[in-house]
Amino acid sequence: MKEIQELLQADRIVHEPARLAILAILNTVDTADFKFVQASLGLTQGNLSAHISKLESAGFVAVEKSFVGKRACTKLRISKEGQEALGREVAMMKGFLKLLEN
Amino acid sequence: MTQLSKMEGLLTRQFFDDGLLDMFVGVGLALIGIAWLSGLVALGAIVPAVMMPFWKPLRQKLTEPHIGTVDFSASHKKKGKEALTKWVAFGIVVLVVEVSALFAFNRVSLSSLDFLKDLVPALPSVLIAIPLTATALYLKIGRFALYGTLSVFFGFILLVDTGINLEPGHAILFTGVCTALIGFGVFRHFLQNAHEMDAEG
Repeated sequence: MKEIQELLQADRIVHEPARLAILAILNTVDTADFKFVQASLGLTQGNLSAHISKLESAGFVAVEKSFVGKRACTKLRISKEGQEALGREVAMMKGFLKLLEN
Repeated sequence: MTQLSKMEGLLTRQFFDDGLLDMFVGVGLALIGIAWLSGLVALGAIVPAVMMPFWKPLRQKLTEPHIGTVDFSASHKKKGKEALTKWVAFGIVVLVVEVSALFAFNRVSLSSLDFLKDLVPALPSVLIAIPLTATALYLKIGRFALYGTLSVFFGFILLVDTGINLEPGHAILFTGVCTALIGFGVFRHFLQNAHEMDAEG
């Protein structure tokens, strides 16, 4: 079955719940800083950092570091590739969930 | 009314649900009430303009170190402006209808409609309830609907013969104080949670 095959071949970078949630948030806004995403998801700093690193390595998220006054600010933005990967994931999940409907 | 997507709605709520906006609105209303009671009704009208410049620095100082910042999309900002414009227009229409109705009742002096003149002291509170309710709908923060209801409640208290000489300024002041106090409670809770989260990080 195509839908199940697609699920099994899902992009693990995007399919992981925390990373999927990060991409979903960043897809809704222009930019969000690290703290905002952390507060929205309730993840620890280290955990979120690890997920952001993976998304950045995959080219799905752009990370921009700066200072606002004396406060370090890490701005996150979803890339075009990230939007496309999220779109594929959503389409795949929709297809799979349809199989479960009565 | 202009609708945000579910995710936009969630994030907008997350961004503003810290109690600071409640305190800000509450203090503003309290100042308007005090200006009214001091006989300086016109001064009350400039309170929002005086307070607005403090909003961003306050957020940057008190909230953003804990919750961070977000730059919403252009379409989100456009929807926000559209919603604000619609509610301001609605408020103006309500005000014009109310004032026109009052003039009309005064001119025709239908004794059967005289009771409507007695509702006049509650009008400022009803008008204040409109943007409070609009805020509740737009930001999906139910507390603001409560503040709107409180405003209407205090407005109608003025119509009851309590034996105390209450003015519209009192109703606005009471609404403002309640809003600021509830906001303070929410803000305290927000700070406690934020400090716990910062400690975990």
